Amino acid sequence: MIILPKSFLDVKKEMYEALGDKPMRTGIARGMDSFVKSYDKVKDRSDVVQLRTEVKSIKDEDVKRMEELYRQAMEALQANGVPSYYANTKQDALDIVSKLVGAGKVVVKSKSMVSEEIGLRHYLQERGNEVWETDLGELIIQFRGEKPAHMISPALHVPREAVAEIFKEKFGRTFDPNDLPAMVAAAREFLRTKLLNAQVGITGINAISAADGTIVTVENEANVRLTSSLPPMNIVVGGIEKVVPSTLDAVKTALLQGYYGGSPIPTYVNLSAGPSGTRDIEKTMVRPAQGSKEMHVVLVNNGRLEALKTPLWDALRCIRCGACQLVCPTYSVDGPTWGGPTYTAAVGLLWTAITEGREAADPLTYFCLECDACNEICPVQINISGNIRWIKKEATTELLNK
Amino acid sequence: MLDRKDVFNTLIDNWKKTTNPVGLKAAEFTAWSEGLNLPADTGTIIYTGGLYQMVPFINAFVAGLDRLESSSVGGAGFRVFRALSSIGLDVSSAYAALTAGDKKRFNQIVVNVVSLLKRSGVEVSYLGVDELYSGILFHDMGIDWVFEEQAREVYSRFKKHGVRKVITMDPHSTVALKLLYPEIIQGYDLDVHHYLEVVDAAAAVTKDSLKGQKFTIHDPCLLARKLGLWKNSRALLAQAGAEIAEPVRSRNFTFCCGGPIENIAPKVSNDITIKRAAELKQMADTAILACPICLANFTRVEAKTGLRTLDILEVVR
Repeated sequence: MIILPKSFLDVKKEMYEALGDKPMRTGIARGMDSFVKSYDKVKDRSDVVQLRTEVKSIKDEDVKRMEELYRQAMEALQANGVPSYYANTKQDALDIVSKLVGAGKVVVKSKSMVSEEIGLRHYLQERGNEVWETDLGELIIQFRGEKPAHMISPALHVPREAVAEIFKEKFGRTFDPNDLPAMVAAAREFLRTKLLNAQVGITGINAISAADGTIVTVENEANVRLTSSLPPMNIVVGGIEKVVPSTLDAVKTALLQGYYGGSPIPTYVNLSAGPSGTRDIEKTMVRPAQGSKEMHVVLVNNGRLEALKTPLWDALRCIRCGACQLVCPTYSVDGPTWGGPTYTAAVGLLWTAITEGREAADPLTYFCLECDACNEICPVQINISGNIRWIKKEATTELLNK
Repeated sequence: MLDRKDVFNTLIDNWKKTTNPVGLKAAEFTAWSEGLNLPADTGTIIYTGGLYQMVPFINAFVAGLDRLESSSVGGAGFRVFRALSSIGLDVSSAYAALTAGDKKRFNQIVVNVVSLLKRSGVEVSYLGVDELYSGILFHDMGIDWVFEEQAREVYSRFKKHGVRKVITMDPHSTVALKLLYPEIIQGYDLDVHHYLEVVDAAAAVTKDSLKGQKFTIHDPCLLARKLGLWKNSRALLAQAGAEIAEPVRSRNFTFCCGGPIENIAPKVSNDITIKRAAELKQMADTAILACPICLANFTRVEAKTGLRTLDILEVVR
């Protein structure tokens, strides 16, 4: 499906209309206020300060060697018995995953921005599969038929009252909006059945090691653990910019993402280097054991290598913590409306340009205040507002024929 | 609803006619200096950039744009001024309606910066009609060719007057002269400082002159982040003995007032201003800031939010 870029006036009209969306603004405001508190807990921690420096230099190196690193990761995976695939375009990625999944399956997914970027859930559903998001926020937006509002918190724009409403519709009973545990328990109960019956689990990547293909994810819900290990087949989908030189680098990158994504103590950090196996009989590796029987890894380009040749290379260092979105004034009043088909606000405008083409981001850039709140908080020091201005300048120059 | 081209062409037309984006006559910028007898060509100048003097006009201009956004006129190819007059709201008449009192407050701010500098032992000259607007709004909007042309013209005027050191008074012009001009102009050799870097708090501010008064503080985003000067305004207020209640988002993590998009999307800008004003109002009834764009924005919503905003140059003596 080709999505045509919107005109400036279309975007402005949507932006003006969104100002009147009270539930959205309530959800975003509460989320932004909570973020201030969680950020206060990590910002001066000496380990986090050190991690920031280390991860910045890891990502600085990555963008210089992106092509080499993703190839190395793919070879390492193959050598470890994990089929790996390179998808140059969205469609390539969809074809690869769809072929692996087939039709008539129950598929569970953990949250992955790349899978949103390529439209994976819809594509698999259209091919006769039952697909469920296991991340609570992502399940909420699946129920509501929306795009993610934020990289880490997809349902940030949905206040508790609106969660109660959609759960009532989907689960057929009423919920007290102030009883958050009851709503979370209902999702747990619903998803547990899906997880146990799924034939395929699709998971994402926070970082992946070029040295041995180990995939690192960070989470609180345990849905990534369950999604990757309960179903017989685990398909991992991620962007090629997620490849870092070593497993230790990958752990550091994922941890920093957790800290900046609003989790002062991330509950689970998962390292996964293949389908389950055991060496308990004569120290000989036998696969599978208790977890998934097979694992496939799909690394997606979709504009990333091309962006390396533009000023947008800077944004490919992004660890997708979404902190920049949570300090953005325009985002605070317009929420996810200020965004492209997948990525919203701040660095999301740059990701829109990378993955959808610059024209898709053009009209959005005029709503940036260039206030640098995003730059100030970015743990890897991406010049987000400067890059947004670069897109704006290109667009304005074309518009005025100068 | 206004398209981006309408807004850009209006600003560019104004600039072509007057060298500033809101179409003001030179006399409006220089009025503050009448009778001050500032020394000529000391080598150090106060550069106002015209922004404080523009505040009442910016407010009239943006109010016009905002009314136009709500009306059915506008759209591709429509020039804003023509559109404004077609709904009976002509900006030049809105400007004419401004009283001497409206302008006085903002002109006085410029007078006050010169006094603060003087008490800090810094004598400044002023270029008067030879001082040009910095062009920063055009940079913000990505109209770089206008910004670059303006930068070169501003610089050549400085050179003509033998200027070596420039003291700026607002964050936007400071970013232009200090951070952006050097990227455009080869051999750029001016020594540029924001007044907050130059003013000596102990010498310029009467101790405890604001004792017993409580304010909250709004750090202008460019001042706090691009220029890193959030400590300086606090030092002046501390010398004056003012009580400062910090808002949740402050210092280098301050929250923008919405000003930079007031022309292209006045309604989004306005909602951001109201949101920030509400946050400040939780801390105190009056917020101190140090930026003409913030001041323009907050004064526009004052009746709605109940938050009074004052520039630091209006309170420290």
